[in-house]
Amino acid sequence: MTAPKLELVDLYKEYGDGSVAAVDGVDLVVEAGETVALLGPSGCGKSSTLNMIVGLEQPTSGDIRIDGKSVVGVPPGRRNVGLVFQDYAVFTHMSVRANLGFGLSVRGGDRQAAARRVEEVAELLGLTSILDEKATRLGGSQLQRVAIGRTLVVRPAVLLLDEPLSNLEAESRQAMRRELRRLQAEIGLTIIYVTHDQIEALSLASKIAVMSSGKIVQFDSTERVYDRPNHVFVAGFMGSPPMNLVRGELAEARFARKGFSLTLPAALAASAQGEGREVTLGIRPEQLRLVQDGAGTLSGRVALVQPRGAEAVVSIETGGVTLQALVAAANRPDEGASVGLAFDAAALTLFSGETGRSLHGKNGLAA
Amino acid sequence: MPVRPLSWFLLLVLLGAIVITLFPTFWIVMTAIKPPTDWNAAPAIWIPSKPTLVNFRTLFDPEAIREYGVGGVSQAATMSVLGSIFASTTATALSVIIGLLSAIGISRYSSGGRATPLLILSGRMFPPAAIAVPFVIIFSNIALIDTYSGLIAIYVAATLPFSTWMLKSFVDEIPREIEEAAMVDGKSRLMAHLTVTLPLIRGGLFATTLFIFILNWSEFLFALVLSYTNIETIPVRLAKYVTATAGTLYGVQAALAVLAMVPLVIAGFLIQNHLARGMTFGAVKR
Repeated sequence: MTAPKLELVDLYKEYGDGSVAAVDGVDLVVEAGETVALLGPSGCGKSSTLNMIVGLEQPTSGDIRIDGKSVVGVPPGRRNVGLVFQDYAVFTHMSVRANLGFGLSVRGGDRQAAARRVEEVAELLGLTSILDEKATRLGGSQLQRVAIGRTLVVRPAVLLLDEPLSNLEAESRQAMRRELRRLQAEIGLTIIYVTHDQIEALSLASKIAVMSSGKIVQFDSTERVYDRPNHVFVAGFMGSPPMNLVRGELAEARFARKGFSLTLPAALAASAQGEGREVTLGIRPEQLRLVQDGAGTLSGRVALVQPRGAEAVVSIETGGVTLQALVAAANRPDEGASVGLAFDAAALTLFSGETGRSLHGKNGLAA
Repeated sequence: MPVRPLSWFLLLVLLGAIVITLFPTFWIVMTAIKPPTDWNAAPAIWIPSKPTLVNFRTLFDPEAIREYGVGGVSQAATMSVLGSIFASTTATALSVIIGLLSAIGISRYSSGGRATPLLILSGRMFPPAAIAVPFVIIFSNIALIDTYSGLIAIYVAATLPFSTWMLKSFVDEIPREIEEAAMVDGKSRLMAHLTVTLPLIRGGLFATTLFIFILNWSEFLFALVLSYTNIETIPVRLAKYVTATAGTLYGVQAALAVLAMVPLVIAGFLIQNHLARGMTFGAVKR
C-alpha cells in the first residue's frame, strides 16, 4: 500500500508568547489524486497550516509527511510542493516564459528538457501565444494561469492554491473553475485549496476540511459536509444562507423554547438520549417549503423577502424564532403575509447544546 | 492620466519657476567662461563677450591665470577632484549596500524590533556641527583624521539613515509573497531577496544611490574639519580660491563648480526614468 500524498500529524503552531495556538492539533490525510479544500473563516489557522505544509513556517510540534517522508525542517524548495499565491506572486520583471521556467532554472539540469517542459505546460494552460510577453502586461486570469503553470512545471507531489478564485472577476471565476477541474482530471494532481469561500470549496473540491479556531471540525466528502454537518459550526458556516439553527430544550420527543415548540420524530429524539436537555435543532433553508397557512407543521409571518434572481430568501417569524427559507422567485410570498412551513422530518438535524456536535449516528440513528 | 493642454497662465507660471530655478546654474556656467576682468564687473556682464577656458585650465595648471595678470593659484585642483571621486563613490557604495541589507532586515524580519528604524534615524537628529568637534578629537586620537578612511566612515554613518529609510520604503512595496514564491521554487532566503526583490526595486535603488552620492559629493563641514594636507574634496577646494592680491577668484571657483556638476547631471539624465518613480520615496502604495 502506498503512503498517502500528504499527512499532517498532530500539527501544532503557536506564535509569540504561546498563549494562543494558531493551529491546534491538526490531523489530516490526503490521498493521491484527491482535491481537498481547507475551509474556514479568517483567523481559523488555515493559512498557518498552508505555510507549514509549504515550509514557509515551521510547526511548533507535530509532523508533516509528503509521500510518507517527514519534511519538517526541509526548506520549501526541496519539499516538492507547489503553491499558487492569492495575489499570484508572478515575477513581473520577467517574461511569461522566464516565469514558467523559474523553478527548473533554479534546480539546474538539462536546459533543452526544461525548455520543452515549459512549452508543454504553456500548451496545457493556453499560454503559448503569450510566452514572450512581459508579465506586467497580463490580466488577472492570465496571471493566475502563469502562477499555476510555474508550479506545474516542476511536477509537484502536491499543489496548494491559496484563495484561487478570490481575485478574479465573476466571468473569469467560472472559466478558472472549469480549468482547475480539467487540470485535475487530466494530470491527476493532488490539490489542496485553502479558502474562506464555501462556494469555492463546494465547487472545486471532492473533500472538505472545515477549520475553526485552529482545529479541523469536520473532514469529509463535499456532499456529506453539506448535507450532514457534524458540528453546529459547520452547519452555520456552509450554505447560503446557512442552516437555520434553533437552540432549545428537549423533553421526550418535544423540542421547545420560549414561544416555539415542535414534536420530533421518535428516532431523532432518541439520538439525543443521555446528551442532556440542551440541544440545537437545524434545518437547511432549501428544505423548508412554504404552504398555505395552517397546512404546514409550523406557521408564521413573512418578515423579509430578499430576491436574488431565480430564487428568493424568505425570512419567516414563527414563535419568536426567525427561519430562512429558500424558494423559487416565482413562488415568493408578500412581506407580512401569513404562511405555513412544511418539511420532511428526515431533514432535521440535532446538535448537542453542550459540545455543538451532531447527534447523528448516536443511539442507532442512521448516520 | 490624460495630458491636458496647458493654459497660457499656467505656462507663464511654469516658465517663471524654471527661470528662477535655473538662473544660478546659468550664472555659474557663464562666470566659468568669463575672463578675470568680467568676474565682478559693474554693471554685471551676463554673457561674456570674449569667452575663455582659462578658468578651467587654471584648475589643473595653477599658473595659467597669470596670462590675465592675476596672481596664480597655489595648488592644482587635481587632488581634490580625485579625492572627491574616491571618497564619495566608496562611501556611497558602502552606504547603499549596508542600507539595502538593513532595509531588507527591517522590512522582512523586523530586525531589532519595532524601534530600530527610528533609532537609525536618530543619528540625523542633531545638526552635524554639534558632532563635528567631538569627531575631530576622537579621530585625532585614533589616527583617522586627515585620512580618506576617516572621512568615508563619517560619510557612511551620516548617510546610512537615509539609504536605510529610502530602501526600506521600496522593499516594503514589494509583496513578501513574491519572495516566498521564489523560495517554494527552490531559492534560498538570501537568493530570493537578491534575485527577485532586488530587480523589482531597481528604480528605487538608482534613486537612492544618486541621492546619497549627491549628499556625499557636496558635503563641506566634515571634509573641512577632518582634513589638513593629506586629503581634500571639491567643496573644500572651492572655498580656498581666495588670493591676497586678487581677492576671490570667482571664475576659477565657478569652473570647479561646473566641473562638479557634470557627473550629477549625466547620472541624472541616464536614470531619469527611474528617478521619477524612485523619488516618490515609495510613498504611493499600489
